[in-house]
Amino acid sequence: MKIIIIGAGVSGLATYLQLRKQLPAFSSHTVLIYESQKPQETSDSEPSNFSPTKSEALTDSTRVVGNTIGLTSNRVRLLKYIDAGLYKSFKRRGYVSKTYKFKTARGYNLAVMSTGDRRSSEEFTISCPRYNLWQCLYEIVGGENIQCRKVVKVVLSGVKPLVGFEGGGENDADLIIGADGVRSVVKRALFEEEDEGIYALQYE
Amino acid sequence: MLYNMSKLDLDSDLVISKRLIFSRGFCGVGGFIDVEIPTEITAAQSMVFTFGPTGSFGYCSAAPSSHNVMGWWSNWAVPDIPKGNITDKTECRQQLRQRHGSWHDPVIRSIIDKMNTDRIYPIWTTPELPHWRESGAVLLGDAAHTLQATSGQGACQALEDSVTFCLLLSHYMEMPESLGGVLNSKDITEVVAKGLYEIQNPRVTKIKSQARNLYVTKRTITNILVEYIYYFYIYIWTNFPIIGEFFHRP
Repeated sequence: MKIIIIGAGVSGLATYLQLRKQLPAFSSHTVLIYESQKPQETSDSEPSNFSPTKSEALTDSTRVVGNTIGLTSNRVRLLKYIDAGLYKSFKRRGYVSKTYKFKTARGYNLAVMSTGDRRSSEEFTISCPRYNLWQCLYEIVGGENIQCRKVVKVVLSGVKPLVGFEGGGENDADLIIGADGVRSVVKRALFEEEDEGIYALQYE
Repeated sequence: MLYNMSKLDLDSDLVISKRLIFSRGFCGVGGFIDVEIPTEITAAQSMVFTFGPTGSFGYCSAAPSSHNVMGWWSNWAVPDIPKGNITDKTECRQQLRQRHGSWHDPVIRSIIDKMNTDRIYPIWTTPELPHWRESGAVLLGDAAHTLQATSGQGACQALEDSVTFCLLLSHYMEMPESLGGVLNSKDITEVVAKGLYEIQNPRVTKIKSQARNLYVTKRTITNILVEYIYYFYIYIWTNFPIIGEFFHRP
């Protein structure tokens, strides 16, 4: 089976990692990742020296670099399920946030809730920059498995779905995975003019 | 399934945190600062969410505490779509002071003094899509359901989609006979993508409609009684999530 993953963000990279581990006879399949922009290699990727305040915006899929995420306990367990090394490096770089504290502007405490899942070897929410999660995934997948090509169209009318690249060229596959984020080329192919109509992004 | 779906569904912590953070018609701004982690965080290893009449403000440690990196975010309701994502730093700080400058928590004021962000993000969402697949193509993560906000819970949903999809795909590729007969890769893709939608779409939809329920106001609250009703409402949501669920089923 030939699979094309469009987008090397969190969902694209996590999907690649799992396919590599789970697909029966992985080497008999072809799995390609296309990312529109070249990920910026940090000269010093040592996690202890990584400072999110200094990192620049990366690719389109990772451009929400300025954001904090709280990965809840059940998702932290998902990381362990996806890859033990991924889980370890993610936990090492984040902060174990054991509670959510809710307050009012006037200073009253409304609630303090545990983020723990009360299971054996309890997991809690891990807080960190979204970039951390992406970087952990990127390091395990390996940059050599990501091709820097911008997919500008997806054609679904043929026998096999195919992608077209900026500057020409095409490639077909048995399966195209649209992990290409907010302004998805695959979503546009699925819904055509309705992608700009009833299925366009909403801002109320 | 290798992980327990019903456990995920019942995780009230998760649902609540999302409910409090996300809604449509909101803007967000956020970033990181290098600063010693305050006791407000370290005392109970907390992520701190503060709600007020002009929006919400949150902060937490974003790395092991010895690294001294704090993440913060501010969300507020706006009647109109902002024109661009970028303003300037001074403008940004001034807006933050207007919204949160009089708030009680000194940590919030010190973050506003030290922050150096100039980007404001409108919070967009994707309307519920009727399906996430067609002729051998499937959507995952933000492409299928954008839950965009400054505190990025979208990453959580992206991971879940990916795990669900890969479990289904490898299952049917190993055992195509469980679908009744020998299947080609197109049929497998179709079944897998349909399964993904059936499992994940109700979860995403639920999170979004709950988010809308929490933000009862679309504008700044100016009436103190309304402000206290809002606090009481959040108090109920956070302390008795089951009651909240009962009154606000989507």
